[in-house]
Amino acid sequence: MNNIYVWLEEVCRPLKYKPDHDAAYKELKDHYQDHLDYLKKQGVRPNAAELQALEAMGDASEMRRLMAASYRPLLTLLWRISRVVLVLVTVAVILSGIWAVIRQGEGWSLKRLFDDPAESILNTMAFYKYMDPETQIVEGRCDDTAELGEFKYTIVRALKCRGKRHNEPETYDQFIVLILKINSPLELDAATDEFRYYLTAKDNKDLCYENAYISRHPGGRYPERYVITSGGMYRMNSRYLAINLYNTDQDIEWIDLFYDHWGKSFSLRASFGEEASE
Amino acid sequence: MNFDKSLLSGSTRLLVLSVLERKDEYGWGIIQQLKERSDDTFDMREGTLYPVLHSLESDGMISSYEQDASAGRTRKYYHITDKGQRELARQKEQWEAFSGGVNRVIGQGAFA
Repeated sequence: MNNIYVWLEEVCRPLKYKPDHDAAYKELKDHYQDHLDYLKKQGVRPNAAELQALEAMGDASEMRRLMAASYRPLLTLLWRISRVVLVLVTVAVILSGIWAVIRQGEGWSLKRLFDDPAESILNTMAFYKYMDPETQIVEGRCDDTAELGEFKYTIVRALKCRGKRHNEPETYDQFIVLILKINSPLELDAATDEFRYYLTAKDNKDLCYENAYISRHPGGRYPERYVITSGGMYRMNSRYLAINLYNTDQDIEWIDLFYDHWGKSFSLRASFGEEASE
Repeated sequence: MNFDKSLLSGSTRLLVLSVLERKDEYGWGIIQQLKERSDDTFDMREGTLYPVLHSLESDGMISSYEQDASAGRTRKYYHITDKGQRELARQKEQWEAFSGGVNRVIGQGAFA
């Protein structure tokens, strides 16, 4: 064999993966060139230097065998795949972020994901479509926290407005929506879902609001004033429950929310009077 | 001096790692370093060096990177990794024990 290119092709033949093949080919060719330059500097004539440098590269068959033995295509492949996957994941995260920013306010968004879940409940509960367009929302206030064992309950939002329940014959002059935050030391389990069935309310005029699920009147109708709850798990260890009170009085000043079940009870007050708006 | 190739074959990884311990080198540079530092005792052939380099790289003992060289060429330099440093220390210890034993047996006792 008297040609370096033939020698290189022979030696690199076992490297089936093209980038590996090309890298080894270039490295060996550079090595040959370094040796050639060195010999020429030493005064060796070009033809003799080429032969000497080629001979120093060794026997092509033996070198090919050794290259094949040290070559681990699977390892190379896995390494390259992992790099591609890393790049793809990074691109996907960046694109998701951009998408979320573009779609902010339209369905899913980063804002939705990280904003106050109480707001998310209000946005998703279809509460607004029942409202009278002329209505003004009055924001109430509740600073109390109730505790039952390890659980803590706080009304984080209290809203009052005029409206009409969808697909219901009755028109309600007033809605009140309370967003109750339930903190628990552990992830809430299914049993906690029952909690909402034992909520009732009473306003400052001693008007009572029964739970609609457990106190249906004969004929399947809800009571005149009633409580309906809806909610869901928004974050680990906390749950937000939306509590709708229907047919409340127009100039209501405060609402007491009661829970009473199996000897455990608490009450929380949401105020809508002048004190609340200060 | 020409000597039995099998004497070298068992210690090529140790020699290559020892060269790279001092500084990053490319293939031709490693051969030149070995030659110089051994007073022309070790004239490692390319057919020996490159499979060893690729094997060490696959084992994570060394890593490689490209660097610009003269005349618009790039060279592939090799760098010893932390894992390679630990392997070098282990192989040095083995070699000293082995060569000391050989020297004691053949009666020269240079490392004894």
